[in-house]
Amino acid sequence: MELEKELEFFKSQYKELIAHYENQFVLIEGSRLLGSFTTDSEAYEAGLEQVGNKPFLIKKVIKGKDIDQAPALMLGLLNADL
Amino acid sequence: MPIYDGEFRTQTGQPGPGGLLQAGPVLPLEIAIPSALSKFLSTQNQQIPAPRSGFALIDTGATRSCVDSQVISSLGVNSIGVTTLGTAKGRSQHYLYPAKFRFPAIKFEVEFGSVVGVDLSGQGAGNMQIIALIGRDVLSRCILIYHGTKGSFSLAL
Repeated sequence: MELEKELEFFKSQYKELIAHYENQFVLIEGSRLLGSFTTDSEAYEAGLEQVGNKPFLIKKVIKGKDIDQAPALMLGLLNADL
Repeated sequence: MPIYDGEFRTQTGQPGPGGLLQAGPVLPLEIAIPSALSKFLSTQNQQIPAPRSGFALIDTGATRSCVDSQVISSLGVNSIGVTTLGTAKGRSQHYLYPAKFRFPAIKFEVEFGSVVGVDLSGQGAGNMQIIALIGRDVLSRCILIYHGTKGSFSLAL
């Protein structure tokens, strides 16, 4: 799975990250923290500069889990026959 | 404020609900690589991929805008994260991608830090291939008027 290593690193370092970077966007490549940023766009630009156009993780450091909703899509109702 | 007016008519040219009911509120869309990636590719003397054209469906049920994974991947954009989509059917993991949405009909574009990559293959009505969903992240900055009986809608961005 793409970004698996980065997500594992984020999970393992979560306590440290939340203590220092709460509500910021962290940039991670492999098992390296490359920086923290105010916006995801800033983090993306920094990622391109430091890593190039390769997969890297940008994640907002927040308490709790962030879950998005797209019920029509996930229930297959975008194109339902009526 | 640019305004897109969508209207569906019957075969006799009269306003009616059928077209909008079937297709939903859709508008022409181009998906392009993020500006930061364009700049990066330019500095590397690499070719900038042409935007992909299709249609966007306005989805008031979606918290965040979504893009077809195959379309965004074909532009050479790498994922920058993973999110969980929650529904009544359960939860599933999806990749996040930075992207730029262009609305050529109203000469307007939106740059996203991230959108959710989903499988939209085969979605759409007739020749209108849906390649993105406009979620409430965009709609929170817009005015949307849906006139179901007339078969029209307006989106002020």
